[in-house]
Amino acid sequence: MERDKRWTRREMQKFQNLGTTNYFELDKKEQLDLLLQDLFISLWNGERGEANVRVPGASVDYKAMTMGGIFPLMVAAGCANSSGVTSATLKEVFEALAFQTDYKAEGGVRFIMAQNVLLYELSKVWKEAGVRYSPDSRIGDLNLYEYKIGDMRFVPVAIELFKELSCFPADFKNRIFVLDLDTLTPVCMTGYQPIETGETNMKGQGGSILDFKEWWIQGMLSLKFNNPLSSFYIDTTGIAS
Amino acid sequence: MSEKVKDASALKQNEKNLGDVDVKTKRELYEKNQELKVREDEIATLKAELEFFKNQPAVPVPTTNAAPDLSLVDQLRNQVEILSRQVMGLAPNASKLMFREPNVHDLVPEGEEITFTSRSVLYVVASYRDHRGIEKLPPHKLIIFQYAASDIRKEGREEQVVNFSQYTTNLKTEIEFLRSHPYYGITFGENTTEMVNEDINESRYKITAATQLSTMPPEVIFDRAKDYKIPNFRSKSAEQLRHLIVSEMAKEFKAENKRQLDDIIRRQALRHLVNNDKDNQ
Repeated sequence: MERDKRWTRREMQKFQNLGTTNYFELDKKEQLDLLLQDLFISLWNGERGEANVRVPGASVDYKAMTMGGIFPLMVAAGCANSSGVTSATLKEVFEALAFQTDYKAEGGVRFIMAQNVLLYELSKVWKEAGVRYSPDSRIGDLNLYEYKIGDMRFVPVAIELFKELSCFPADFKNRIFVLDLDTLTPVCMTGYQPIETGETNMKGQGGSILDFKEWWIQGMLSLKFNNPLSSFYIDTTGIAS
Repeated sequence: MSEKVKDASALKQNEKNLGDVDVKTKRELYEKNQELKVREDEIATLKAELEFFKNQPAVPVPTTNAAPDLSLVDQLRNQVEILSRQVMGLAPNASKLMFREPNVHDLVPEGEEITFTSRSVLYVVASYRDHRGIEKLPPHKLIIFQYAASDIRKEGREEQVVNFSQYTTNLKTEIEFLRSHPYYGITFGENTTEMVNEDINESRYKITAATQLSTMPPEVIFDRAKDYKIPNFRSKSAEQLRHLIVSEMAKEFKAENKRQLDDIIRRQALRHLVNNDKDNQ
């Protein structure tokens, strides 16, 4: 994956002469954010394979390798799951799946990843019924930062991008992932870095005859999923609107 | 003279009548007395019995199983309580979700158990919401498909491990619940061969479609069927149409997913387009 931005000498000089903003720095950061976003989407929902990419204006395709994301790999491996789970059965389903997929040592941590609404619902399942307040209570904290169930530990991690329809399919906003991150290893080709940045020389610098500077950032990422069976996912209904 | 004789005979007749009345009254009086005597005897007997029971030591009345149906009433009361807890909205506040215990009437005849198969290593069938917004819970417990077998499939150089889980039940109520579940035939089914050949990557889109369809009222289902041009949709029930529409909707969801992933690739290509435009300027 790659992002880059080309600035001609005239454009750069124009912004420098105006001299009121750090526009170049912000522009670089924006490119970095966009690349990270693409990497994130691929990490979760990428389809493994090869894609033909045609640059507009070009006459031939070039091949791009695409990575398999966490969710498609979980589906392909037939991970433990449950669908259509409502508030009424969320606790029971979560506990049933947690115990059935407990391959970790005592006290092993798994991470619950979902959008905030679902994590809040999950914490309410255990906490709300038992919470009492005194007259001088000023803060009502219904969150839980770790769940200990049996000898297992679960840490919730909110991922608000799951509800962004431009990034993920609509069903991601209703999905709770419970991942054993010890079985997940991000990888990239030896000799490459997962994220690399750089810029080209301007005319006259290092023998370049190009009258522009190109700032680039590229990412290379893939995933090894050793034991998807110690992770699971729950598709909920009627909790997150 | 003749008038005097007449008077005398009438008087005689009256006296005779009065004598008859007297006998009758006497008989009635006698009968009443007899009856009174019987009553008095009866009262005396009852009084004696009352005295007898009064003199008996007090025996505590048994509270348990006092009435033969008391346990049944308790059982029904518990079930009502459980059902009221399961009403949508109240359920999350319940301390524990409780289900009805199965009884002998729920059993199918021996040898008619049904085995359902799922393509996951483990699958939990929880509740679902129907088109009226009513939550349908499994009748007796969460239904958990346990791991059954694995198979290795080869396609070119690709190798894939395929897992199966199964659930066998001999309860009529569970069989009916599973057969009417919106994911029946998608994530699990009775036909093992069909489930084995099911493309698991496709079924994730079908799940999304089935979830949406299960909450749609019948009139919307018919509208959808019309939109998707399902043949003879007017002669089919809403339930039949739900299963037919699932595949059509799944295709749309798959296309949407592909479009999003293609966008990531296209962004690289667009980068070149931006550069070209700048060069042209």
